[in-house]
Amino acid sequence: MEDSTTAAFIGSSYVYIVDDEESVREAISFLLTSAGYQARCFSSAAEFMAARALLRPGAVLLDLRMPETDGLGVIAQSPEEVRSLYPMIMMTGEGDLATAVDAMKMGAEDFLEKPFDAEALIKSLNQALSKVDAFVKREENRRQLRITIDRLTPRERDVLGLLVNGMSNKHAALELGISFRTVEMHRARMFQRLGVKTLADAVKLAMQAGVDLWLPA
Amino acid sequence: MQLSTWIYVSTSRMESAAADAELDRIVTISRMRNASLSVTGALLFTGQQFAQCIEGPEPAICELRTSIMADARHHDVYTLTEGAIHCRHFVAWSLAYAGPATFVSRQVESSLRDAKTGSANAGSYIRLLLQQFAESS
Repeated sequence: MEDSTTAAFIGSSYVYIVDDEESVREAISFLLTSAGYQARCFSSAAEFMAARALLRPGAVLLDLRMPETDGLGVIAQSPEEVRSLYPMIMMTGEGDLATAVDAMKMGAEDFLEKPFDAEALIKSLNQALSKVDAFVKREENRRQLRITIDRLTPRERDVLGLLVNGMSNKHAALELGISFRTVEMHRARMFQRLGVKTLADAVKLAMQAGVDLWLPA
Repeated sequence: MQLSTWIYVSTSRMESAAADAELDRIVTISRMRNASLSVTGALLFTGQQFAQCIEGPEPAICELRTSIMADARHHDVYTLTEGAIHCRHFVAWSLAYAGPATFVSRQVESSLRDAKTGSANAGSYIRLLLQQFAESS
């Protein structure tokens, strides 16, 4: 697929429209589909929430005012990790400044006042989708790094933990009750397994992986 | 001591890749410096534009304004409101918002447009926007 509309998407092009008004859902869905997005409609917050776990990461266009659970309710029920994969853009016809700011402080990604033009909608969606892509990429990178760190032997992991916490080889040897030479050996193997050449790189890798490197008891 | 305020909108010159780290530096330094000068207010960053309100003793605002105007990390500094005020609108100085929300950039852009066409309310609107974000919810 080489045409320009699809080529624009490196990552997610999924958009989930949650609005109780059928005419609004249809209008937005038509507009987005012709612009090359993959749009899917939900007529209530409950319907969206029930399907969410099965949906590919993407942006959510949420109507602020809906019967039963409204847009703010969806945000309130979505923890941060959910909002990172499904950033939520609020839409409303009767929003004031305070409502918009409150929604954003609760975790809404953006706020669109109806009627909005196609350009405003697409600009906001593209911001949200690039955030999804960045998050997915970061998580995938982290997962790979964790696998690499999991391949270390317990002793190599201990040494990494101590060095990450700023200890010298000599201190690490004392702490672990092993010889200086043995620490050096573990350290060299650990570097090799992690594919790094310097301590700084090993520390950076451990931080990126977000692994909790415990200090040995 | 006479209380004074300055509200402006400016355009960022920061590279987007370095913007997060640069903004962190701005916030850390501003928080310390403003606290020591008894300056309160809030800053907002949309990725393209800054909007800031500062308020405090007149000499401090004057000094800060000179330093902000000279900062190479932004340009096109447009003053929306300046001068004496009776009371403060903020209890401290903080980063009100930093992010790509189109809602926020629309408010900043339309206020700037209003100010350039002679509206006297643009500064108050930006201050209100900053206050809403700065207030703890």
